[in-house]
Amino acid sequence: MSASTRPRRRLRLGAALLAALTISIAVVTLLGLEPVPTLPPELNQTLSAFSQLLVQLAAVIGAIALFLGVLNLTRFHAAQLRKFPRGLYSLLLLLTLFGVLIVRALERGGVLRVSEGETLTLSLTILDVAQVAVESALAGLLFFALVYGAVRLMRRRVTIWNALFLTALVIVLLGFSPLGGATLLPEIREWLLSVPVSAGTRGLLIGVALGVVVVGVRVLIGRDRTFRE
Amino acid sequence: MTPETLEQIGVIAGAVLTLFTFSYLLGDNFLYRIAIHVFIGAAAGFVLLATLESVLIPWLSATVLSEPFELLRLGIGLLPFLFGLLLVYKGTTRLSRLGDFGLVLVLGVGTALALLGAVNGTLLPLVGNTARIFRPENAINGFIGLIGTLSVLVYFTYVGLRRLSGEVTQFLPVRFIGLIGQGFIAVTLGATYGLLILSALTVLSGVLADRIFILIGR
Repeated sequence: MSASTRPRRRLRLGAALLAALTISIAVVTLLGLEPVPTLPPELNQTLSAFSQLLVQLAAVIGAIALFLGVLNLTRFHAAQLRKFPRGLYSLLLLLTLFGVLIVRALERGGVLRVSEGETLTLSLTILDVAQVAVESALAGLLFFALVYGAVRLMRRRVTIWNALFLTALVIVLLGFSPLGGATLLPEIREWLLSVPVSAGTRGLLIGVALGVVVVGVRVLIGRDRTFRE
Repeated sequence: MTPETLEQIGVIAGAVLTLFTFSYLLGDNFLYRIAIHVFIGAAAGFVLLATLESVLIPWLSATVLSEPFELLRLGIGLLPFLFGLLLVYKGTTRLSRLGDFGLVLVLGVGTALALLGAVNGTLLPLVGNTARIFRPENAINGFIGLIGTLSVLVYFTYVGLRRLSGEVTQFLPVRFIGLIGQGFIAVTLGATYGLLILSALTVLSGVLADRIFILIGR
């Protein structure tokens, strides 16, 4: 497509303003966190203090966004209360949510006290029961899902990549099992993890980091599409 | 109520919720949904508490509620709340543009932090590591490591040639090195999958020992 027939992109004032603000905030934060030695020390100090303030502001905005997210969750489940049986689950969710908040508020206010010294035991017990227990059970369930996934992979069409994947998987699993005191498998597993797997991981991580740098530079030069759509 | 009684109630309730979660092995059912909804409610509650106690209240104490009164500090203290309020408009159709202003600061700071983190925290150390593993006493392993890292990077190269027929093909050397990289990726993912299975097995045995065996009195 020639330059004359290419559709011209409309420049919107709002988008340009947003891009300019984002770029200046990003540049100031970068200069503050990674001072340039050629700049005067006073300017570096000012930029550093300003970038610290910007990072704090971003953290508080993130916290407010999280607060809004929980409010949205509450609003959604409050609207579900009239439906059956979904409303029952929503009721349970809201009861747990407000239960946690009320117990913590009562504990901090000194009204509710089941404590050992300074430790607030009741809210920690709720955390252990409702969050840690279910979270660890879900992580345990993952074992069955992973094994089922590996079995399904074996049933599908066999390719060289599937075979490599499964060979590495089996070597790692058998390498950790005490099979008659064999030393060869653990040695192969050690080599596999420290040479090819480590190289592959390094390649993937460098690729991800390069991707982050490219996206960051696109934002810095105003080529990112975040504000254009 | 004594702390010991509370602990006993906690252990039994935790074990019951663990059983409810494991009931998913029989298929999606109401016991599993009860456990998941309790989990989501508790997680949201604790996240909200952590946000309030660790970020919002200290920020307000240091700026808006701090003595003596200063207009500049008050303005800075209220600024993130103004940006946060703008985020609410992201959910509306007509005023969603206003919500973009709430994102400006987060996007700008996030870009700077991500760039610094990627360069200082990932790229430089990993490139240094790749160069260091290539030692004379460990030449073969170093060579395999170097080939692995480079070929994985080449595998994600999308530069190609457009032929006269319109078909896009990669250069032959790039395609060949990419195939080696694909092999390294398959081995890496397979080994990672194996390690993940072992981690999940460890967690499962821990859950069985800590929650379920206590419930059945073993």
